Amino acid sequence: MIPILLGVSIIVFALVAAIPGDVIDAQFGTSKLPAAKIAELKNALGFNQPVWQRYFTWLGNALHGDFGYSFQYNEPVSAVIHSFIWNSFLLAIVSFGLEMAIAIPIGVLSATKVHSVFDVIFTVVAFAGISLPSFFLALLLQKIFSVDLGWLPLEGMTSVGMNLTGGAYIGDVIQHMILPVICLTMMGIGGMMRYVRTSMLEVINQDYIRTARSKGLSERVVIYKHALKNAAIPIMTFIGNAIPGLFSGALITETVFGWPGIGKIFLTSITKRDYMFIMGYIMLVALLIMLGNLISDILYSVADPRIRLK
Amino acid sequence: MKEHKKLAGVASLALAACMLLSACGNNGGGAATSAKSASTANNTAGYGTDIRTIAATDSSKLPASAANRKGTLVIGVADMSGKFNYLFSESADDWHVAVPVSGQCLMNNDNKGNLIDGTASMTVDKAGLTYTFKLKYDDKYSDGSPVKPEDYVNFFKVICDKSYDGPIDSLVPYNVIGAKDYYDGKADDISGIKVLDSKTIQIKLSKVNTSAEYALGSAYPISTAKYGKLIQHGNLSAFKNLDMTKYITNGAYTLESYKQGQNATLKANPNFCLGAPKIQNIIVKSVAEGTEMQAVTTGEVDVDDEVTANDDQISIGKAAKFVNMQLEPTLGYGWVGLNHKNPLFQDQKVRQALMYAIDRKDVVKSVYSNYAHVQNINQTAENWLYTTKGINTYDYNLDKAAQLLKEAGWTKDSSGNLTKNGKPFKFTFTATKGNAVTDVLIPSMISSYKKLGINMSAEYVDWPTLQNKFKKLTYDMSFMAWGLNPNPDDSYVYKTGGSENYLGYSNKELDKAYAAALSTPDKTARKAAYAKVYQIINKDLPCFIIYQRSDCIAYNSRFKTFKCSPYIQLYQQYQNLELK
Repeated sequence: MIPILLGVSIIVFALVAAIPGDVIDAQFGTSKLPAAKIAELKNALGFNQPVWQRYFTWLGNALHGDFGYSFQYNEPVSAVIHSFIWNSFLLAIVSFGLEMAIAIPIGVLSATKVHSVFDVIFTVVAFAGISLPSFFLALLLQKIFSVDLGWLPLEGMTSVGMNLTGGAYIGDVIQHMILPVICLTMMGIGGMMRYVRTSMLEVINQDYIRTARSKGLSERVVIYKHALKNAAIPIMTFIGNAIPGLFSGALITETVFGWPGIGKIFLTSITKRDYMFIMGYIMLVALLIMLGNLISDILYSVADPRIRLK
Repeated sequence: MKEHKKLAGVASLALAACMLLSACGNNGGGAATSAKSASTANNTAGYGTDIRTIAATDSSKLPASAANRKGTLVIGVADMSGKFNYLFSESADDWHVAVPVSGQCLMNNDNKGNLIDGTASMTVDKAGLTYTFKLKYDDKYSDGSPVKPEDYVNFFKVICDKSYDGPIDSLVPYNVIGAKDYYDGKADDISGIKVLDSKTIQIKLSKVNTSAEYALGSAYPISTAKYGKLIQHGNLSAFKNLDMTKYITNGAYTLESYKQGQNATLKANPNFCLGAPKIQNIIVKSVAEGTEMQAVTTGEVDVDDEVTANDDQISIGKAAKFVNMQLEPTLGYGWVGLNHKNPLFQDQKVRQALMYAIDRKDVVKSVYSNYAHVQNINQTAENWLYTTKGINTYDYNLDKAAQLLKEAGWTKDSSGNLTKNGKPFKFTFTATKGNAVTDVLIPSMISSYKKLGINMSAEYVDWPTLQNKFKKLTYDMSFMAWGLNPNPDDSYVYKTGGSENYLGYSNKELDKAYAAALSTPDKTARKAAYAKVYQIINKDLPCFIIYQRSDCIAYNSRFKTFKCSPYIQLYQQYQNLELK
């Protein structure tokens, strides 16, 4: 893992350094600050040093847990990430849980009733979910449920000016979560459903399933005990790979619903050339991707005892 | 009075300029409106000048969520970064908190940009070299401690410090005696600034500079007792990183809490010298871009001054019935910049030809419908210096353009392309992607220029890259927007070697005209001096000024009093707002 993380950091640092302009240009590029002061600021941040030297300075600090200062927020990168990432996680984990709760049973049913009306309907729904642009779906939900019907809040995470506490506060956050969660779930459900369906179809046609049926086992046991357990291996890869997504934020959905998440912040950091934040965030996502893979590997061995971690 | 001038990416102009600058509505499009606005602005005073309000028709439609918010006002903004120390604050969104929370200034300005008393009255000696500020009130901070004249000096010390990296000018360009020595670290105090007694601050200049009054008048007090230790000569990091929650201020409001990325809660300062604010609590809330009007119509916010002025938004507001909308011209203008280091643009006749060949009226109408008008000078019609005298309107005229190019020595070759000394007339327009103005402007220019035999192509970059190209003069032509403010001095944009002259432009006559305007204390004479500046720019065309657009402020029917104008922004007005 460590060599991969190092490799990622080198590539990302080099790419970020190659973007024209830096944070000082982005912030003061066309301001009246004297050139001498701009040069001083760049000097203080080390922008006049060669890229490799800047990289090692960054790496040295990062190894000591210091990911630098976000110019955009005038706060340490870790503090900015901490402020926003949990909001993103809250949205993502709820919608991911819903996606699994809905997509897995439907995927299994679609596979067992392949080419039936049920299968066709949900295949169409799945493709609609995959194909709909998230901003369109988000705006549509806002228009119907907030603007026209007035049932749910338009945006944000909490209602302001009400001083809610305890259960009322949690209820308020849940109300604000409903539309973005519906949006994210609808976007994600199609892909997962198709994945489960395909995995199941592969397994259902295997000899050991035929054997199980010929032993006289009930269809329920055949499908949910024998077939689903074997189909679970690729599904677990899917789940493992989804872990970084739980933390990395949903850029468009967060933006449209004004949800204070990390995805929105990351996009702004690119346009503002907030290098320290970009590096800190990408390294975190890289680490999560690797952890996701590791968790997938561990889950394999749970699903299939033949696979053992060495 | 808060002072700010900024180059705004047009992508961000809708956001940045509309707020940074200020907005005040016109009566709808066209060049004719511009002239009409001018005469109106010159003849009236007080709120309401040139502001068009579309009033709510049925207050009973106000959503219960808004009606039940007794004593609390919710204001929508796009995105706060949390930099609420005004001296370091750079976005209009942050100013919605930073301005009321940081402090009340020595001077304010009226609706035409004229300076008026703030916490002090100002007198200038005949020579225009000595400014005396007399504090008018027994002003107190929010914690009850007294405001001292020395506290205003802290403001000057911050902006004159070498380590200051905020957006406000130091006093060095304004010729304040001792400012340079303080900046260089050679003196512990700014020798030209003296506290004469418990109510008087005197500031001396070494040379007349008529824009100094704006810079000096924008000072607000920073408590020496509370924050003096943070303002270290040569190291302002402790002051810059100060948590503004519960900041001790003489401003109208204090910052009670801030939830990053969500909202900031302000509380009225009962000690505010201009009278205790009538609204006790104000919440400044982040609203997703594009949903500003919906946030008002659903009752989630009470006012949003960043609504895009267009027919769709206005009809949404009208349909809600309880929404008032104030339309006002943005204090700023969109312009096409030319790189004068490029030999193609060094001939005045060529520049005039290129200007005649831009169908500005059509472009502005296409992009902004009736919510913008063609602009001809680098000053807004609301300002006391605005003039139409001797100003060419450069109405679209390809024949005139062809004639001027011919006079400049450009002739068409056999394939219809313009050439001079064997070289073709060919250049690139650099723009940012997804910009509503350039999406229309560039194709229009390409088409018109092609008819003249000029080959213009387009390239797209992101905003920081474009800034970089501007700074290094590695572009041919591009589109940008400038904000305006009460201080009319924009010489740094157009004069030879100006700190923000991104045009590589130099004109000795204009330099002289600016110098005259900056050294003329008498207002009537100064008005004539600025008229000359505008006429020279209009004739010589260092850049092509295209339009001034409108802003829309949407507010619901909870208000008993709502005041705001292009020169007096919402965030400067919280203390004057009143709810029913």
